[in-house]
Amino acid sequence: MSITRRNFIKYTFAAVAGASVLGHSAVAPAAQKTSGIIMPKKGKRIVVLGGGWGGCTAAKYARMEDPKVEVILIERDPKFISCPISNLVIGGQKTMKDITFTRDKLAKNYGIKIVYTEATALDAVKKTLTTKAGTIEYDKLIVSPGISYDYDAIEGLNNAAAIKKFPAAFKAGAETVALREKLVAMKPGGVVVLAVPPVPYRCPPGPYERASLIANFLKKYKKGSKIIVVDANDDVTSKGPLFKKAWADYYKDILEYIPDAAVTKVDASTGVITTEQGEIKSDVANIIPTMTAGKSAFDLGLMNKPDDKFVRADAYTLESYNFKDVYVIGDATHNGAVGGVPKSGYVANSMGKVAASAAVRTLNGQEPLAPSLINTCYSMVNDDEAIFVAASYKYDDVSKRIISASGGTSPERSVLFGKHAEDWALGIWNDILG
Amino acid sequence: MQKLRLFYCIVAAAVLVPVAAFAASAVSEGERLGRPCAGCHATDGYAPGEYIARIGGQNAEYMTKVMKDFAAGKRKGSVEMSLLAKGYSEADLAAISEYYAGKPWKNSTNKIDPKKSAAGFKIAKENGCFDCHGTKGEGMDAYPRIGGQNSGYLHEVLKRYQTGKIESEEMALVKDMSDSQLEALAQYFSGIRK
Repeated sequence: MSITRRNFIKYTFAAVAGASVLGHSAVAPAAQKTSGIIMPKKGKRIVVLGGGWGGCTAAKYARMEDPKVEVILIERDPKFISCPISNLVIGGQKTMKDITFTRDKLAKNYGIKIVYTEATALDAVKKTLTTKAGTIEYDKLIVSPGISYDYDAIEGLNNAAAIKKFPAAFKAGAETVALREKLVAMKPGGVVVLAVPPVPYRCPPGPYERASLIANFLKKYKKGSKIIVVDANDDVTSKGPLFKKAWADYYKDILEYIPDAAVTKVDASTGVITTEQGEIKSDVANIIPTMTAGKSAFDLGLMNKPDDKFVRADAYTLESYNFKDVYVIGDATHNGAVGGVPKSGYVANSMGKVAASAAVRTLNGQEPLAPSLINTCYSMVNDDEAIFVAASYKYDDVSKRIISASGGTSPERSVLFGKHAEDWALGIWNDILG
Repeated sequence: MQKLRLFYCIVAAAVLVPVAAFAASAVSEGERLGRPCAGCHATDGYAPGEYIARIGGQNAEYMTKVMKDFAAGKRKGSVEMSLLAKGYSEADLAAISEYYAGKPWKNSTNKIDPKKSAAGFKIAKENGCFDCHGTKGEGMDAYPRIGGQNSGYLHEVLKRYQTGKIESEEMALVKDMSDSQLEALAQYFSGIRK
């Protein structure tokens, strides 16, 4: 536990400020007069912050493991929009409707109480989470904050015009639609730039799948167009040989790949993208910025060391280094602390189960069980064919980290893997929301 | 702490339904290891798609054998499972199989072509499929449940028996069938809703 007393005071102050300033309008008057506490806690309670892949899974599996524990899920957006499969919306194979869901079944089938609001502060001593709707008490808090973009890492990007012109589309939703619309509106013969951020970032193969599907779209509907992939890394970070084979076979004159080409500067008025390897004039540019843990992880004081960008948590339970009884899951976790698991939707789903079980069991006076995780991640390379990576993970008592127990990639691309990709999404959406 | 963890593991592995009488949350070793499988096979193994198998309520003996075959590389057509199963011990694979086998079976919801299904019924009758798999395709012991299994998965597995990717004396009877006959069989058995 390396949190300093000074930090502790800072976070407590933030909690007080959040309750009085931001909690104002939404809190019931009666509750406000007393302590600002809403939904007073009666029995054992787990609060889950963040209703994405990790958070919804954690909420559901906590209730499955012990239906006597009350579970409150706090989330900002009433819609659940799946980031996995969103590249197929950009590529034109799917629509937003196909990846947009409600969380109704979590409430109906599992009795999870869902509050649509934003968290503003955490008091890990009093064990309360302050939100814009009021302050909520917890016994265990599971935080699934997702990722944030570091727009400041690229000159000229951190302003409204540039963010609008160069949508990142690594949080599915309006950004996904914006990128799709720009591609559809582009004139044939145009140049698309896709910038891959430096590792670690959410969904390692995601940018390359997207590049493949954009190339597929250009090949079919935008004759004479090109996509240039500028990668901040020195090579394709996931499934490299499989992607490169597909690019050579299908998109030879359409897709150009440039490694070691981090974007340093963008110009929203001209579309010029400056990289370490030179300038490119773009008609459409998908600039995926450097990523950090979701903003709420910083706001709630979960960062352990001054320069940390992701949250350190115990690899066995996923309890945060900073606060007892506060767990962190998903893309926001720090690989140095939890181990070498990819920042994927599948891992977030597995982590949700691990943290839920650890929280429920310790709440009931039981020992937590060793974590067991899986990752499979499919990438479509055209309308029908997919490649994949699959691995199982377990806890290693020596390194005290989660390590790979087995794994590898598909030996080739295939139509059957494409069908598996589609059915994988149906299966995991069921496991998260159904 | 470590000793206690080990203790719980041993109890879990030995009893499979450990400490249910006095623990608020009883999680078997099969459940601990098997939960992540739901990331493809859906909660309780009721995969909603066509090409990923339903495993909730599958016969334990069959499933245990198949899982060991995956790990041993004997079912090369199942590429994902061949990679994943290697990460678990034989006891782990048996525990995971027991866990999913303990769920009640729920039939596939795949859309079935009635013409293909009718043709499939005829082929099944002529080839004695019901002798091993039962009149509802429910299977028994080492014979898998195929009634109500997902259609695309059944078709793919039949193709693997046909091409010898999965070796099986019993299933050698599909070797001379056409692909449309295999599809018809898959449609018939998947469509069983009894």
